[in-house]
Amino acid sequence: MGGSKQKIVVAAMTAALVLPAALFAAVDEEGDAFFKKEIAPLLVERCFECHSHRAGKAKGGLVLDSRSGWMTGGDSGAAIVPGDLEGSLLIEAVRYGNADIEMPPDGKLTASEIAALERWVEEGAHDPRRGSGAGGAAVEEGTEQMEAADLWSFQPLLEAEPPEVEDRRWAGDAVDAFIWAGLQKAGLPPAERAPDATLLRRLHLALTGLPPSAEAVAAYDGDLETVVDELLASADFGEKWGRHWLDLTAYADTMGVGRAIPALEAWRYRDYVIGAFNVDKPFPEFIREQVAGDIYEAGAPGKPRGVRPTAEAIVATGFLAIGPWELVSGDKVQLRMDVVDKQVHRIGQAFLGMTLGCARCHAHKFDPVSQEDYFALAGILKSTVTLNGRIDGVFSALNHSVLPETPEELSARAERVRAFEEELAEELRLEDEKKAETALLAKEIARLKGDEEGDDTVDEDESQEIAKLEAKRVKMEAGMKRHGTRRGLLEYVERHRTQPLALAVMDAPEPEDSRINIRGNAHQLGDVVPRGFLSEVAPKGKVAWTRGGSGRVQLAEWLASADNPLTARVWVNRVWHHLFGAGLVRTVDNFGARGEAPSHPELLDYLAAEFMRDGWSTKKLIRRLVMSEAWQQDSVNHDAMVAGVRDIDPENRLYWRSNRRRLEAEAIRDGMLFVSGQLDRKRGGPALPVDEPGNMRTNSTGIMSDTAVFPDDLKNRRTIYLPQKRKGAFIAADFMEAFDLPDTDQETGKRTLTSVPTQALYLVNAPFVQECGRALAVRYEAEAPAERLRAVYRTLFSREPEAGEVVLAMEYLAETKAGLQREWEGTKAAAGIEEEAWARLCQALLISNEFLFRS
Amino acid sequence: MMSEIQRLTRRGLLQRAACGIGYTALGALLHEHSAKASSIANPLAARQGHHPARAKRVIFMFMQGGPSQVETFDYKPRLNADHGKPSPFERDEKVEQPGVGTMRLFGSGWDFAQHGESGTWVSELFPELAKRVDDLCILNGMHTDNLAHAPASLQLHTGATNFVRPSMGSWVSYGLGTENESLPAYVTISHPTGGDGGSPQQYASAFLPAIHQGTRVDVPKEDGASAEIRYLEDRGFPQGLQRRQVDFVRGLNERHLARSENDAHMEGMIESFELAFRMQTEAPDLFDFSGESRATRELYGIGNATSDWFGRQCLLARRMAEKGVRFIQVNAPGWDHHGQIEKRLPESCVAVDRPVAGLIQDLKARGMLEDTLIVWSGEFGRTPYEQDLSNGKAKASNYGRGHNPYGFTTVLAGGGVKGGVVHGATDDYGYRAVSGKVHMHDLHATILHLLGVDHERLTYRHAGRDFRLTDVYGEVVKEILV
Repeated sequence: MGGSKQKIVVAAMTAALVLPAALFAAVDEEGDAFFKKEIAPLLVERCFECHSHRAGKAKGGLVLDSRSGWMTGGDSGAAIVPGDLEGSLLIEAVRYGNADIEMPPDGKLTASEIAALERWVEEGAHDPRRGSGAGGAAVEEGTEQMEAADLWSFQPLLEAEPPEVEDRRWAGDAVDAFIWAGLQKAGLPPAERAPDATLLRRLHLALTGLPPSAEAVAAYDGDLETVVDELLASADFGEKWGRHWLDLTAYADTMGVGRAIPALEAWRYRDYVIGAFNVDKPFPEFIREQVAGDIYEAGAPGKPRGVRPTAEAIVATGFLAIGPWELVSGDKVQLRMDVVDKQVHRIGQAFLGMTLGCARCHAHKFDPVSQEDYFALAGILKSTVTLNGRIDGVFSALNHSVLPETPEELSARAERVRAFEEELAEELRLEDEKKAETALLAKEIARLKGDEEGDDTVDEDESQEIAKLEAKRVKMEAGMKRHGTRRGLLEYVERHRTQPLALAVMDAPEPEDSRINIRGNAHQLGDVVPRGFLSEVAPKGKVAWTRGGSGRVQLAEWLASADNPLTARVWVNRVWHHLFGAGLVRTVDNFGARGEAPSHPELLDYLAAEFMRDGWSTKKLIRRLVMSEAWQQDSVNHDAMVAGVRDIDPENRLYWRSNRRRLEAEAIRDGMLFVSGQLDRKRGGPALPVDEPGNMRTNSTGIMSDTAVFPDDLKNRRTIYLPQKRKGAFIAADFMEAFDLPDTDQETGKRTLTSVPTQALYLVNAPFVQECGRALAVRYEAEAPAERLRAVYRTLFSREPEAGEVVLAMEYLAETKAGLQREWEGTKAAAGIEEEAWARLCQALLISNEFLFRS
Repeated sequence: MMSEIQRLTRRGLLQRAACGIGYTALGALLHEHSAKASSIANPLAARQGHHPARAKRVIFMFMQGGPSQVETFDYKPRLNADHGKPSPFERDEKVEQPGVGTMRLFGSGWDFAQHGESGTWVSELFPELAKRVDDLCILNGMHTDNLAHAPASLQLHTGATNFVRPSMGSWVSYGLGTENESLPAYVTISHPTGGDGGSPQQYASAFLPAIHQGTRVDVPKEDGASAEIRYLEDRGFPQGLQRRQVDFVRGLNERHLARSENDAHMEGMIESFELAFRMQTEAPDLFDFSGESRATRELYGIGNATSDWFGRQCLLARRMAEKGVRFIQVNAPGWDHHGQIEKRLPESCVAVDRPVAGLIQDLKARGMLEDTLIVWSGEFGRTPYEQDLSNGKAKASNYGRGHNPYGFTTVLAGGGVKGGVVHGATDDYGYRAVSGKVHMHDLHATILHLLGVDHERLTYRHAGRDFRLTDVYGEVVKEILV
């Protein structure tokens, strides 16, 4: 890395003095020469400090590092009007004639410099810098930028032979050969194989996100391969690995920013992703469906026209449709481009490991991505409908596509609707009945009070009767109010249930190329850029634009091509990252010049090539990696310590041991529910409990309350099925926030794992954790104390407690019981002391590092 | 990173400890160790900025909804004179901006008078703040980029209107750490999370480490209820026994750590339990106002139905400032006066007038105003033309004002800014900032500058590039610095 960084710095320094000819279009050679010789150096030396992208400054909104920069000008308007000296602010400023704008502020230019600028403007301000009028494609950024030829990730895969291995333990698989050779070269001994119990726990957590049950550990007969196959085949697998993918998509069950407007259909995309991992969908198909599922069948080369997409393929485009769109923005033109920008960013990050968003405002500073490249992709997304119409007033709505149904689905739905209507009718009938009853009651009360007869004496009996009836009436009215809410909600839900819809994208009726948005501003337009892909990334020019449409079909082909050097590398590296705790390229979302170089480039390319040869099967890849010696190492390695590993490889980039990791938010919560016997295994389906009374705040757009209640059939399900809100979590799901569930508005392939005091407070004080402790204690309450503790240890840690640990636990138990005795003596609570003490003991074990970490 | 010897030695100690030195001794060793470790690795350790700081801490007062500038600090006699005439402003074609160009100018219903030695104009809606006007630095040339609540509020807090960026408080925590490790560096009190664009995003750390995100403290609206942090306490379990439980967990963790090779993250978890327990001990004292005199409560407007809630927020802010919390945010929602401004604006003003003035006076009396920067701001201001939500059916008393990002008022006090100063101005009607313009980015640059931080040098590497609170913008407003 040191080398390439240096290169950038050197390039940037040279840029200030020399402007390479390559950046100039050969239009007007004389004008070019004059600009290059007289004007450009002047701008660079005297203006760029405050008016260029490189300096990161646009004082007064003005940049002078591109033609469009001065054409657009800053807050005071265009800086130069070609041919008009008096109308050009830049000339006025350098002449020092107007005290309000004297530029440069640190000293007037020389007379000859001013004269040169005047001549230049007078003669039409010929400025040959890159693509005349092309946004902020800044002069010196062109040179700072790394050349495609120098960026490793843009090169074709290396054909590497696995090294020879002398050690029999490491000779089994090519993965081990590469890792072993790296360690040998550094003089580091690998760690021993991890003990079986550790390995089983690691394997279960890595593949399913749940710890193994005590029974699974007891039944283990040494055949790890069979266990791996069973875990890969279990439906738990998709719930763990689907979540990794959802992290890259800014998935949430609400839409908009600021208000939690229900995205009732988002769950379909979540279930699609889980299912795709469970059936081990080949990666190219996974790409095609998500980028172009709605049009792929009809638009792919060689496919017949007019084939209707499957419901699954439409749902898959939720990848593009679901996101943190600012629905309420007043500037709808800018909003549309902001959505496009986030989609370009998401595609670039998820599949290519590139930070394409940078090129929206200027050529990418570091990577070989031009502004034209960016807008070539942006045109494709601009020709795609994501937002469609309005919810209300200034609120934009997301596009919903109707899903095709099979005859079975159709009749099943008709049955559901019928049942629903019956239920609704019954509700309404009950409501009418209650209304009538309440009216009768009111009448009776009035009669007793004597209002009608003019007899205003009320005896004691009567007044008691009135109070009773009054109480009944109040209760009934309250009941009706709740009923009213329920009725509204039933209708609300019905509206959506009568027609299966998905949050999905579709092609715009009139596909169009995008124009460059100068400095990212959708109202300041530069040149038109034909739709296309990254010009420096293979397969270059091989994907044919055979049909009309947005170009998403071709985009998917280009992404999923075996010639694309990024797609397989990026995905293989993501899988490695999730299994090993750090990628071969640790910057999993950035394969550009600012990302890290791979620790084992040949291994990465070898795995990418094998992955493609294996039919792009993620399960085969995972299977291979978890069966490797490299992955099965212990997390301690005393020999490496002795060999001085702290100096050689303190960050474990060579994999001389297994990385210990804190569990992710989902694994902690799911694990706590699992070991305490409470986990609800129901899979899939709608996420939002909108029909629970009180969960919706009704207004024009419908807002889900932060304090929404999760019904019983939802609250103990796996975390991936809990409703996810944009901007923070529902209070009922605040666990996720405490344990670094990524911001739902930000795509990320690598979660940060923090240790902050709010987590500790949660673990100690939150009712959820305490209840898990209690349920765990109850689970083994039939056992005698020593065996009860052993059972808890086996369930939590996949091992027996040591003698010392038993002593400490029993001490703690006794002290807690004694303490509670003192506090609760003589109260009703005293009967539950034994139970309470065990609950606290189990909670303590549950929140200890051994449970929260994976060794 | 700690040296290997330190680590190994520590491991040896822990192993011995686990064999019977006992928890008290272990606790002491741990503490000594963590003091050493924290100077290297603790992300919240107090740090110096780039230049000497004028302010050590910030109290940021978010006036959610957008207060009307022409009825508070921006005196516009011409607007009053032209009341009822057609609004002369042109519509910005690219933005959906209800009302502009069709509505009539709408004068202020309240009188202004000059106050203090500086003779600064303040409206009669702020009688208490008017008395403190010589401590105030009024920025009348504010402007921002977006006219919807959510993006504009996001820009006030993070600098960006539509991207996920760290909050100003998170940047300050990241840059300067905290002076009290028993409390978080960035606290936001009763932060609005729904309606009018209130959102946790406004106090989120985005890509900065999570420890820098704002910790929410809720001051309930009900009279007399004290503030709370979620899950701070378990009232159903005796505290002594909880300490015992936390000690037991620590024992488990130390044993586990001793069996493993050292692991910064596992040690981090152990530390976080200790900080949590310190917070459990310290925070309830902070929330307990029983030691505050009646005079102090009255000073903050506590006890008055309208100002009680914000008064308690401000008093809690002062107590946190005293304890060394770096960035404290208090929040007053309800300034979105589209209708019934005649009735509702005075309520909003009463809610904050005495609390803000009281806080300034109290800080001054304690010698803390000079190094505490107070920032009072909405996400934008309001239009000088009327907004009639009933399409002409309502009485004028039901009229209000729309959103105005082009010109509005932000007020600063203390912490190295000049008092008795008005900087910047809007046009004759109070619509657009025309001189002494201060953009949100400039405000952020100035706040950081006062804290001793150069906004161009406080950066964080993320997704391949360095990010700043001020993006590529921002100029320090030098004219207002002491």
